[in-house]
Amino acid sequence: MRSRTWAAIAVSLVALLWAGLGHLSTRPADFHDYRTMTVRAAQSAYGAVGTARLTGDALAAGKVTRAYAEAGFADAREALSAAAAGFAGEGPPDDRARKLRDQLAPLLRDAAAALDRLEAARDPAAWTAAAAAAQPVADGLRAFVEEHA
Amino acid sequence: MLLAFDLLDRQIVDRDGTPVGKVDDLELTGAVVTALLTGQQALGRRFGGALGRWITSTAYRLDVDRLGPRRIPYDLVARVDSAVHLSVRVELLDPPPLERWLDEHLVGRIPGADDAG
Amino acid sequence: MRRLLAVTLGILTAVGGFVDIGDIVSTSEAGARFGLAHAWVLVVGVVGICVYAEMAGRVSAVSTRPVFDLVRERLGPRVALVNLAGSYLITVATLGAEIGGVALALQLLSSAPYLLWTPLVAVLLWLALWRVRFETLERVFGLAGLTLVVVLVSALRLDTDWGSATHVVPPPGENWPTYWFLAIALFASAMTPYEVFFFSSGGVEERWTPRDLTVSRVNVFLGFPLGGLLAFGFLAKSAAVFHPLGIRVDTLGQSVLPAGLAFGQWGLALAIIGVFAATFGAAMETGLSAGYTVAQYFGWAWGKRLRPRQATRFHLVVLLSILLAVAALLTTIDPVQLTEYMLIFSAVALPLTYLPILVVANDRDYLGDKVNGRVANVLGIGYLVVVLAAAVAAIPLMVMTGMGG
Repeated sequence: MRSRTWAAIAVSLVALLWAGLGHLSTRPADFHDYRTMTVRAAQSAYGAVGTARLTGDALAAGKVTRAYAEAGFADAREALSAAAAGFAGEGPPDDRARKLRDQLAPLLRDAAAALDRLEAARDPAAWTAAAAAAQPVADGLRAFVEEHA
Repeated sequence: MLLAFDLLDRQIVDRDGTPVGKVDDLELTGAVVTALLTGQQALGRRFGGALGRWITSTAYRLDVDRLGPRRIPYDLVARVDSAVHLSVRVELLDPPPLERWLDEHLVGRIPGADDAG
Repeated sequence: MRRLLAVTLGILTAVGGFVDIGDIVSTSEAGARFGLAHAWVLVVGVVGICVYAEMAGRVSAVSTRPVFDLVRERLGPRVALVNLAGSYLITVATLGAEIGGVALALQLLSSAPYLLWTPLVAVLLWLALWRVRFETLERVFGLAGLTLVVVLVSALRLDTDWGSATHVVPPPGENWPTYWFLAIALFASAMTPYEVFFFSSGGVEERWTPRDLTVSRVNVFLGFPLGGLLAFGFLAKSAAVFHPLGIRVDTLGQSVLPAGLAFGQWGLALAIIGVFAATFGAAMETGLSAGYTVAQYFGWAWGKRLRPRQATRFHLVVLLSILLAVAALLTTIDPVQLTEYMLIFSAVALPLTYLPILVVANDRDYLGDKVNGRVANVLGIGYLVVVLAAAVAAIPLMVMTGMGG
């Protein structure tokens, strides 16, 4: 009898927890959630572009190997795609959120283009130029994070 | 005679210090310990409950020759300190069934199984 | 002379062996986000591991049994089984993280994806554990791990703001929960459970006797702090390069970049080789520790001194643990993320490891007059409180900060 009571309590607790988690994960996002998500995406895109820029400069200066730089660019690409996917996966709940979206979307596109250019470059001059071109993109992303965090 | 509490769960080693097993249970005749029992079948019996039954039945299934828990006569115990030291070498005792099966069919067949590290 | 050599080698291997994927990941992240504000946590962690590794080494030397062999006698088979389950899971998760670290280091050297390297690393690891002599393994990887000194030196060469180490508050834009979350990860990385399993079992494998107490203590009190210094190198170089830029570190490539910035391709190569050696060495230690914990609970024959044929069950557990770890990695979980989870869950399981050591180290039946003195007990109990606090706070902080995000 006692073990049955315990089992009933345990089952109802699990059911409650499940329902609670279900509610949390399906409830429509408000502006605060949306802002948190965009800042996180911008932060991670900034990390990717910023690191790729450092790596590009170091590559041009002969401080890192090609193999290392390629692996580093691939990591940056992966982080950026994850950030962009997270950003694209959620629609803005209101007008303020739409403004945020319109501000970040072009920055993420520029970030992808900057990475493309770094990956396509084949000689020191091109690396330096691509790294220099990535700088304003990184600055823009950082400014976005600092403005909205 | 030592109290059972001092023997249970103690490591058994042979005369060279090679581990033989734990004292998973004891064989008592009256109040005298006549043998050490070692192996997961003996351990599971002490556990009791569903977990104990599971341990025992798994160990039983792995024990292909149905020898039961390994029994080490208490006469073979030389001294007891942080471990139970036997007066014989491990080779003189029956090997645990799983250890022997693995030796014959799996681990013992890998090249280099006879080289000490 | 030979004895001196043995001690020197012991220290060097401890230095190289102390740093592993957990230290590299957690220090690099903390340095990037909080500068040197976490430097004190490393000091706390190093003192903690010294206190408990000294106890574990003393227990092994005096009783000639590894600590976890004795846990079952003292706590009974049921409690010890819970302990075994917790320790084993954490150790296998750590093993997966270390194998991932080796594969990532190879990716940085070759640019071929780490998932291709993972199975190869696992095979190499198993071969090393199966064939190669224990001392050879320890020495080769311990000494190669010393190349990580380059990371520390590059922190000195780069523009590190050393004064900020006394400034133990979160910088603007960061909050206290994240600060404490990373502090717990750093603490857990310094006190990773496999280190004591390995240290006490290694002492028994090397047939320590009470005469070797000094060797054990010298190893502990020099090896661990010097190893902690290498971990501090990762914190400092991350603080120097990434903190001012506000870039978060979440890849292994980022953590070695500062060595390249400071010393060019040679610096970078040395750092990557150091990471490779340290994680491979740690993978061997965790692989063996997985076997030790299980074999010592059941009383099976274990260790590399015996012919594998005499310890088939031990070798089977080691092999299965490697397979489990590789299976976890092949789910394509990011090894750096696996490391972060591993650290938080080891923080939760730390009391399981450290409470029994304190109990056994106070047991006159095993240690006679070599039981804990007053200093060891005060420190031991003090650290147990810290360990418990970290264990309780770890999961709530993880949820609150969303894994530090």
